[in-house]
Amino acid sequence: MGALTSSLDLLLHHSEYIDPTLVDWIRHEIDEIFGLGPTTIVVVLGAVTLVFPIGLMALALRRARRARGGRS
Amino acid sequence: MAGQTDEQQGRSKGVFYGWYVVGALFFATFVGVGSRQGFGVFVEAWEEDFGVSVGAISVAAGVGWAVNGVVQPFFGRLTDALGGRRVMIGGVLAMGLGTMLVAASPNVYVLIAVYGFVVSSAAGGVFPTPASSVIVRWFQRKRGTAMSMVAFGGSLGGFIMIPFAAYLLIIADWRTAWLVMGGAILFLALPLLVAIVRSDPSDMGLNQDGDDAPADSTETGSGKSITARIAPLATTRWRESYRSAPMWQLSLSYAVCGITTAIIAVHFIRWASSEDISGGTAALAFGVLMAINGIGLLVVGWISDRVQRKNLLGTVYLIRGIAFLALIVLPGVPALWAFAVIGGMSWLASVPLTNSLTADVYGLRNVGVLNGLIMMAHQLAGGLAVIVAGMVFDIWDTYDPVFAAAAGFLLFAGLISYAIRERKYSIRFQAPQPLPPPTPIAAAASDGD
Repeated sequence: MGALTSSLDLLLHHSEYIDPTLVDWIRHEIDEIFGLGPTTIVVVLGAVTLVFPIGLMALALRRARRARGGRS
Repeated sequence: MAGQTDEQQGRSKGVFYGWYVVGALFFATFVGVGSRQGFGVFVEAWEEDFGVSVGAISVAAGVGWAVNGVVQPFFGRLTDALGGRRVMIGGVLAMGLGTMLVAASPNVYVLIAVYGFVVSSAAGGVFPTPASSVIVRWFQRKRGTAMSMVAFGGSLGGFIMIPFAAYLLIIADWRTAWLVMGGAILFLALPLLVAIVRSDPSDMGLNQDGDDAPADSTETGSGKSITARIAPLATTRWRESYRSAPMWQLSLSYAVCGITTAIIAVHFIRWASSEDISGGTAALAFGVLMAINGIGLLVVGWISDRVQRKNLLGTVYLIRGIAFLALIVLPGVPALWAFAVIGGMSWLASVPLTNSLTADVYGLRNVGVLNGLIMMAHQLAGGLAVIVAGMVFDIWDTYDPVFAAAAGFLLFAGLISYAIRERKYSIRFQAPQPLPPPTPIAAAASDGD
C-alpha cells in the first residue's frame, strides 16, 4: 500500500498536468529574461490568447460576407 | 463547377474551409488542454487553502486521468452518431462551466468531484477523439498535417496557459485564476466552435480536401459510372474492427505510447533526483523535450501525408526506445539531455499518425468510437504503468528495470507498427472501384470515405 500511495503522490507529474518543478523553473526564467511584473505578463499572455480567436473569427466573418456578396 | 460561388467550393481566395475548422479546433485544444495542464500550478495553493496533503490533491488528478480515458469511447460513439460539432460544443460548454465551478470548491472532496469527474469527462468531449474525428472527415490527403496542427494546439496551449495561470495566481488567487480560465473556454473557444466548426464538409455542400468532386470519386466514360476508393476494412459495426489485425496493432502500440509517456511525465523529475540532477535542470530538460515535441509533431504530420504512415509510426516508437536506452546507458546529465532531444522528436507525433491511420484503414463511419477505444487503451495503460513504475522504484531504488522494460515495449510497438499492411488496408493506396447505383441500403452502408 505504501508503494501505491507514493505512486499516487507522483500522479501530479503526469503529462496531463504541468510538473510543479517545471512551473517554478518557467516562472524563474520568464522573470530573468523579461524582468516584467506579474500583471504585465498576465496582460501580455492574455492578449496573445485573445489574438488568435478574434483574428480567426474576423477572417471567417469576412469570408461569409464575401460568399453572401458572391451569391447576390 | 461553373456558376458555383466560393462558399459552395469552400474556398475564400484559395483557402479551403477545412482550414478554418482546423483553426477553431486548434484553439479549442489550446485552451482545453492548456488549462488542464495548469492543474499542477495550483497544488501549493490548495495544500494551504484546503489543509490537505499533495497526495489528497493527487487523487483529483489521478481520477481525472482515468475518467478522461474511460469516457473517450463514449464520446467517440456520440461523435459518430451526432456529429463532432454537437459533441464538441457540449464538451466545451461543460468544460468551461466545470472549470469555473472548480473556483467554487470549498474542499478537496468537491475538487475531486468537479475536476476529477466533471471537467475531465467534459474534456473528453473536446480532444482528442471528437476533434480528430472531425478532422478526418474534412481531410484525407492532408489528414496528417491537419491532425498534427490541432494536436499542436495542446502543446502551445501548455506553453501559454501555464505561465498565464502561474502569474494569475500571483496577482490574484487560485479561484480567480480558474474563473478566468473557464471564461476563456466559454467566451473564446465556444463561440469559435459554434461559428466555424461543422462536423462534415457535406454539411456545407463541400467535399473532403476542398475537392470539386466527392473524395476519391471520379466519373468515367460517359459520366454515368461513378468510381470511388473505399477503406478496405470499413465496417458497419465497430466491434468487427477487432477481428482485423490493424486495430490490435494500433491499440497495442498506442498503449505502449501511453505507458512510456506517462512513466516519463510522472517519474522524470524523481529519476533526475535519484541521479543527483537538480530539479531545475530536469525541469529545463523536460521543457526542451516539450518544445522539440511541438516541432516534431508538425514535421511528422506533414511527412505522414507523403509516405506510408505506419513506417513513420514505427520509427517514432523506435526513436523513443533509443531515448529510453540512453537513460540506462549514459550517465546522469548526458542521459537527461539525450533523452530530452531524442525523446522530444517522438513525443506527441504518435497522435496524428495513429488517428489518421485508423481513419485510413477503417473509414469514417465508426472512426470516433475506434479512436476513443484506442485512446482509452493509451490512458489506462499509462495510468497503470505509472503505479507499477513507482512500485519498482520503491523496491529496487532504481528506474533501470522500468526504462529497460519501456525500451522493450517500444521495440515491440515499433515492430508491430511496421507490420501494419498499410498498402493493403489503407484507403490511400486503393484503386477506385465502380460503385453500384445508389440504393437506400447501399447509401446507409456507405461511410463516405
